[in-house]
Amino acid sequence: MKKLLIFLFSAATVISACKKYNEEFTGAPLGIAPDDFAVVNNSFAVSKNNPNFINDTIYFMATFNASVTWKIRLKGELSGAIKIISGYSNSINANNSKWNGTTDIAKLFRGGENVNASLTVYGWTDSLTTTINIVLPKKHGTILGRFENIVPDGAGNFTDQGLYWFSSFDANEKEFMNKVLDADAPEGNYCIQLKGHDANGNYYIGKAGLSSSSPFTFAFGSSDANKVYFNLYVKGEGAGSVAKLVIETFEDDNDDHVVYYDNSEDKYSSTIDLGFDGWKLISIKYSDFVLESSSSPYKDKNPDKIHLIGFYCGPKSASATSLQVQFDFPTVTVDAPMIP
Amino acid sequence: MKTQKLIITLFLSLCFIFSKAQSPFYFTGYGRALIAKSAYNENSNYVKNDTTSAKKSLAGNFVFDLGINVKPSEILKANVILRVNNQFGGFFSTGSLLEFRQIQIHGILAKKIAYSLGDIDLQMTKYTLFNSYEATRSEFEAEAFKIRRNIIDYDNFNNGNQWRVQGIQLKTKIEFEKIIKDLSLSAFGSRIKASNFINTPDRLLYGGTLKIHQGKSLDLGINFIGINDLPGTAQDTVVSYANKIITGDFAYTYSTRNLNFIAKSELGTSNSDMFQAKENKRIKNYDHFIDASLGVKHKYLPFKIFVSYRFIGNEYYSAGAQSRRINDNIHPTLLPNGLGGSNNRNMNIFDRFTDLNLYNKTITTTLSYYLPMYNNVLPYGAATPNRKGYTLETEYGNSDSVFYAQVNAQMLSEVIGVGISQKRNFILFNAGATLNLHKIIGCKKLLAVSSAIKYENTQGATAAKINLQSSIVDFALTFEILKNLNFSSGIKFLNAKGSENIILRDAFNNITSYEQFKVGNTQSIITTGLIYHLSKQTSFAANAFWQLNNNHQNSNENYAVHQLFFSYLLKF
Repeated sequence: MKKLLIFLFSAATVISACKKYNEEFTGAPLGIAPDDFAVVNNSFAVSKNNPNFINDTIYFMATFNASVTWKIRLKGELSGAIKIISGYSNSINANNSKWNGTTDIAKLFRGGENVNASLTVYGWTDSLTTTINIVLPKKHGTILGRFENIVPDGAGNFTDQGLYWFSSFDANEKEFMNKVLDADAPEGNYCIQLKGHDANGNYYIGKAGLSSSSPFTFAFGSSDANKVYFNLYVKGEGAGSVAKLVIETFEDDNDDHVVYYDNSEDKYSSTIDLGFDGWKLISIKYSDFVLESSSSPYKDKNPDKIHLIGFYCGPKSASATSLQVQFDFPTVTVDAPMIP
Repeated sequence: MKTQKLIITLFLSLCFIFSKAQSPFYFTGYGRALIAKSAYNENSNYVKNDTTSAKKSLAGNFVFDLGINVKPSEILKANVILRVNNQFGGFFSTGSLLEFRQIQIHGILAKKIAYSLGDIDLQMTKYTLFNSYEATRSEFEAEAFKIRRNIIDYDNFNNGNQWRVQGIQLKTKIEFEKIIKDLSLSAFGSRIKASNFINTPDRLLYGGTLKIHQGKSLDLGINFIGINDLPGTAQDTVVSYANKIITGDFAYTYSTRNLNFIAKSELGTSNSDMFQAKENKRIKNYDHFIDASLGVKHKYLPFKIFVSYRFIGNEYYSAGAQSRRINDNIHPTLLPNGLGGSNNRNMNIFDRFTDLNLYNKTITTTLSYYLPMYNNVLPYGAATPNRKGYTLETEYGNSDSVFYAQVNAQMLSEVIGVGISQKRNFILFNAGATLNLHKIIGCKKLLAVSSAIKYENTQGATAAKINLQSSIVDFALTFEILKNLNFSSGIKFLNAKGSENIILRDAFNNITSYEQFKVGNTQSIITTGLIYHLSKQTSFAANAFWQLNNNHQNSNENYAVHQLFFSYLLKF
């Protein structure tokens, strides 16, 4: 018994000595508004009310009579996009409230829309508001498709952003490449839906593709596969998802202005599992794509030699034959993934 | 689908052939048929003048789990459970699902080591690996409530406080003749998440326990558990998680003629390492806990009392013990909308024990969101970080005795203030009792009443407006009208008022912000009905449930819902 008590006492002493709590508190400061809290002159303003986010970065201005936790909630009237800027301080200024048109959710702010900015303070029952009108939204690399104002060719294909989108599919398997209205579409009101039925069980239904014609290869701005990112919003189907979306690239490695499908030039792919819920931004570095053309003599990822990009869908397993995939706003960015 | 059917057919055929040869082959099963007819009271503010939201629902399903067990020898046993799930209204299997629910292989290696492969249930101590109960659950609640909970527990593989994972478990026991009686060792390894190469990494859970049983008076144990994400199995924006916990525990018993005096304790440390490659951001946490208790058990009377002290450090992170069984930030599926379809109904105490979709089946690596009105004192179980204080526990009798009572009272405080230097203080009082009246009056037919109360009080800085009280009261009456036919009635009542700050965390478990939470809410669930026990494992129940929700801060959210529920449950 005596030995046991000594052991216990020693163990408790060792454990207690292990960590001290010297901080005044843990976590972000609560910053609750005191009873006499006030915003000086009741003023909440923005540095520029009509920003062009291709060039502009704006900030907000307010001064308080105490250090508090504050939050500015920006919501687009048309898009429903939301951006939250928050902090703990006794003033809001250029150092702590910059905004360059980014969003926190899978909804992008639109050009021409009004954005309501609402300032709240933790523990303060009032709020202050101001309005911003976005002249042009933030620019995101090379946009491959917006799917808002497409120009159809009457054969199920269309032109968007100056690029020709075509569909390719297994016979009798498609209801394919539809432009669909989706209230939750991340950019604008429309997105692309690939839908079909894998009747022949080859794990493939069809493909939406686009190619560059002049110049023959896409000019993304870098030849370094480690710097080029393919970004797109994809609508997940939850944990029980049966579909996959595959991004394919076809390179013109021998510069002959012909892309061969017989594996004599490089073909790469990246597979997206749709086992998540709702719209989600997916960004994949080109260097993470997988070589599909094993017999190609080149085997070198060259983003500046990509002529054709495909988005194909198919079932993950043979039993899942009917499926659909929706995606929106495919873009290519250089140096970093798209910051929405 | 064709392949799946072929595999199942082949498997069943093989089992049949095998059974003819040696008869090592037997079936187990679980079946149930449920029908629930629910409706809002149309005068409820929540749906009054609402022409878009559904006000009534009729739902149900038929589930049959066929357990196929093969035991070719004493050292090998395998089982698979196939589930057929047919939603109410399906006809000739329209809308049916056939799936594998469970696959297990058990065996013994070299007559010494027992092993289990496939789906395994794991539990260690309350600070290492432990699936804590949902907060509104009470041992003393009405039988009709328990039937609903048992359905949820069964479907979620919530066997007591165990977590269901897929992997391997090994166990062995060595007996000695001198000094110590036996030594047992168990170890396990599992994958608790499968990578999708986007936002979910491959996540491994592993650990083990060494227990030394000295004999009558002393037990010692060492416990280890670890979680690791495999590098490169998710995008570089995803935080890679590693968590290791080592604890030691002991129990010492000193006996006199009538009493056993017991001292027991567990203490340990946690190390967490979280890394996000994209921003090259790494956060490491280290902290500790101690739980020590002294108590007395009467050798001949069913009475025990324990007093304990515990200290759980602010950064003591133990994913296996702190993961919540229920997701508090999900809206319920029963009659989900109101106010013209513009509002998702918030969950209530009825949803918490009837809605399968609210439940979490996986171990989570961050401290997840919770609603303070249901459980503010210990939202992450006994291992809730940033708590210290005293507990008094006492128990008299058992569920078969004339009188059975339990009391658990805790006075706790934070170890360190959150967002403000002033710490929160907590009181948790949990008590319940059952009186088996038929034993007092000498009646052979069951007549029992039970009651329970769970009271929580949180007090914090006045400036931070932290002042929250909540209580959940249960009352249950069970009366056997005819042989095996019970009349069951019960009430569950929640009252919550006050304000609190909900702590919001990022993927590194850092406290980044707070959400003000104000509540003035009473909820009542009343049930009455009949339960007929066809056998020990088979029952039919018909119950009515009335829900009443009153939001004292926003009367638009007041509603009443009534439900008729029929269940047939079968096990063999």
